[in-house]
Amino acid sequence: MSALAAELRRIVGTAAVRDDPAGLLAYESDALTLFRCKPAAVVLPGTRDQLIEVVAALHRHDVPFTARGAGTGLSGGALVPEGGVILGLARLNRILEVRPEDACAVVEPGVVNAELSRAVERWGLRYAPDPASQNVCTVGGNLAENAGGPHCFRHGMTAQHVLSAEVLLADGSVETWGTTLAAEDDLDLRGFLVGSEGSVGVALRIGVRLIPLPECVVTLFGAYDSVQDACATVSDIVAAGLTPVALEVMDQKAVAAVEASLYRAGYPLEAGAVLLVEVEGPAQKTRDDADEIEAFLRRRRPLRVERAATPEQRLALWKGRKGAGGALGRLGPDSYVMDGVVPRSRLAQVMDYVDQVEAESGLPVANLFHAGDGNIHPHFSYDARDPQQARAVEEAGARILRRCLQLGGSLTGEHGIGLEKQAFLGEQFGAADIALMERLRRAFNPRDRLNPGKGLPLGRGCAESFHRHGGYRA
Amino acid sequence: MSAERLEPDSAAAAAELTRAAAAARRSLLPCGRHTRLRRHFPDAAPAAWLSLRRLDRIRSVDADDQTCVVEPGVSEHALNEAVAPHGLELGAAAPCAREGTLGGLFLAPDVSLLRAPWGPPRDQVLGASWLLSDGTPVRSGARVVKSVAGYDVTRLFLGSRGRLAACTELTLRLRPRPRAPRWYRVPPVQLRAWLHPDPRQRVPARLLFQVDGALWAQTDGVDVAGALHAGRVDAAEGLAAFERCRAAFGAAAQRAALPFSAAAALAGLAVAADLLAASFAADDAGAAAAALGLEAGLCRVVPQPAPSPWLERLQQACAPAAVPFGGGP
Repeated sequence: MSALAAELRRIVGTAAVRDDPAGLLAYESDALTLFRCKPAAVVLPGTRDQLIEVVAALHRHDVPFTARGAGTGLSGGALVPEGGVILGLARLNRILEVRPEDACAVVEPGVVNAELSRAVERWGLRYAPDPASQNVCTVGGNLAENAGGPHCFRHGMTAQHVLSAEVLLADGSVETWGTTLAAEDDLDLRGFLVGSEGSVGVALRIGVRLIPLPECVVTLFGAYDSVQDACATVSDIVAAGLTPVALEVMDQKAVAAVEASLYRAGYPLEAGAVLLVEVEGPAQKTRDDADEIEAFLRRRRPLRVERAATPEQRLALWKGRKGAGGALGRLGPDSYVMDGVVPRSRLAQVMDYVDQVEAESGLPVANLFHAGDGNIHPHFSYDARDPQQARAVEEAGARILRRCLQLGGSLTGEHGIGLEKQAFLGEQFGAADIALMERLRRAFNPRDRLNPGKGLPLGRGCAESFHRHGGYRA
Repeated sequence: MSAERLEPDSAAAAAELTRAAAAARRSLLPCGRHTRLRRHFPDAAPAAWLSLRRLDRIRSVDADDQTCVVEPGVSEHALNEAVAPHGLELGAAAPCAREGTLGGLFLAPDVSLLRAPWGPPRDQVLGASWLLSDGTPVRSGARVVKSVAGYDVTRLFLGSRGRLAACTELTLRLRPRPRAPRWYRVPPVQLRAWLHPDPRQRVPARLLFQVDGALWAQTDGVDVAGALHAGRVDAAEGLAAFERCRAAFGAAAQRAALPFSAAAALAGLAVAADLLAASFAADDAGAAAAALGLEAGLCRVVPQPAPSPWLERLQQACAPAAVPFGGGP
């Protein structure tokens, strides 16, 4: 490593390579603290050319590496096995080009999601994907995981908003995939790259679609006795052919956590569930749609219905939902945020099952979910230092994921497989499906040096490279 | 197109034919009803065609979840007939809606006149079942509207025009039909309002297209007749123009896309065009772009003239031991 470290320092400068224990500490896990592994070194290139040179050097030394944005991923995707190098891309944070009249921009991978939206606001545009971590997470990380967010019910996932990418391949070569024009490549390599969890290539420059800021936005709020009533209301709205941009539900425990935190939004504590619905578009149509949605919100015996039309009122309603992750994080020393998907019509069923798992495991679970998409996020609070609790949380998570699959769903809607869910991939896909994915991975990444051990079931011997539950080695 | 044509009537039969061809080291090229092939494979000469046109069953329509499962030989028109009673439609409107197949629509990059509201055709596909060229059946994607489990093999295969895999089933997302569609005939002098460079000033159109030298638009729930003095027309007239535009796209040898900022210039050209996508139909897109004074690099032609250098490597990865689909006679 020392020869490589010297070479890396020559490329990026001494301060941009960390291999001291203190410097590496921040890179030993991402936002899923279930897994930890200390990299051999962290490299923080400051320019595209440095990044290309770094990858060429890593290729020559045959060292595994993982690109990392802000490390907010929730499936362990931004870790590298022992002996590997983390490519920290946060310094590549320039917005290289905005073409407002073409509604697109070209950015470096380290640009922060929300900053991109703020930068293009003056042209009446925004970047649509809005993961909960949008104030810190990067567009490059969003690309790797195909990130979603509350508003992807109407606007789509990252895959719908990344138009092109200049891609650095494992051997240091550079290609451009996709186009910012409305014409798809014959072979959609861009589409394959998005969500490939960093194992196909590293995006050097990303062409993104920008969408107009809406003329009018209305947020509606309903509080219900039960999660079932909230879910039924969601189904009523969707069945009527209405297309809100977001449909978000929080259960009683999530509401309680929010109301006890600095994200207090005035949600009623006695409610079994609260529902947030947002519509946007041309003023008159949006108001008409909001009237109709309000009527649906009132249909299933709500405890309360509110309608916000000013930005301040809207912000107040969203405050609790946006802060829920942070509020829930304080309920225990460790938390485990799950990500599963069921067909929307099965939401009430899967939530009943989550309740059952909670009762049987004795672990507290709070729920917030993207109801329009059927995307659930059970949030466990536990203490990783207690091996019994750590085991229980993994077992509970496994049961919930299996239930999602039984109901016709998916293991993950927006967090990725990462290290977290590899063991289950074989329950969603057949052996031939996974073998094909393995072969495709090797076509792009022949020596498996790009983010090895993620996304697909681990090869023999790799599992020990990552330590579960903060398994610090003495 | 004189090569033998295999026409299995089930995925199992298609798998058997594919395995037999692989054993005989015979190259097949998957196809539907040959409506788009002229554009995509003008010189294709496989040992035999593997036509999936008889796989034409709608397996299920899940109206609550706004998804459906169909075989690839179903036409866009047939699917829309089946889901219209639920207030739903496919989020893509392509050429060859009646005579072509959905397999062809999604596997060969094609235009969709619903691109502005719902994105390109491939965004409507949630998952699929495939045959690799050695006959192995595989599945990709999921049956839910959101899934990032595993690689997005669906997208990779959709653009491959059948050369990586043959499609035997598609799971599609369905979209609500517009609830209050209003059709307009747009005078060219108003085009600036409909394509205003500042999106906040733009008329909120769901469709905006040109055919036979006239411009047509559709909004959903937005009445612009008063503000713009745009000529409101009845739905039958608007839909007829829409069908003519689709047909014109289907008849042209090429499709091409321009930067959105150049869309208004298309209104001066004698071509069918989707102005919201800035894409148009032409027999020689390069010449049309040159007539607009655009550099060649700013105009993207589909299908691309040069095949991707990745094709061979990916074919090798899909079925390492077998002759690839479309691998020549």
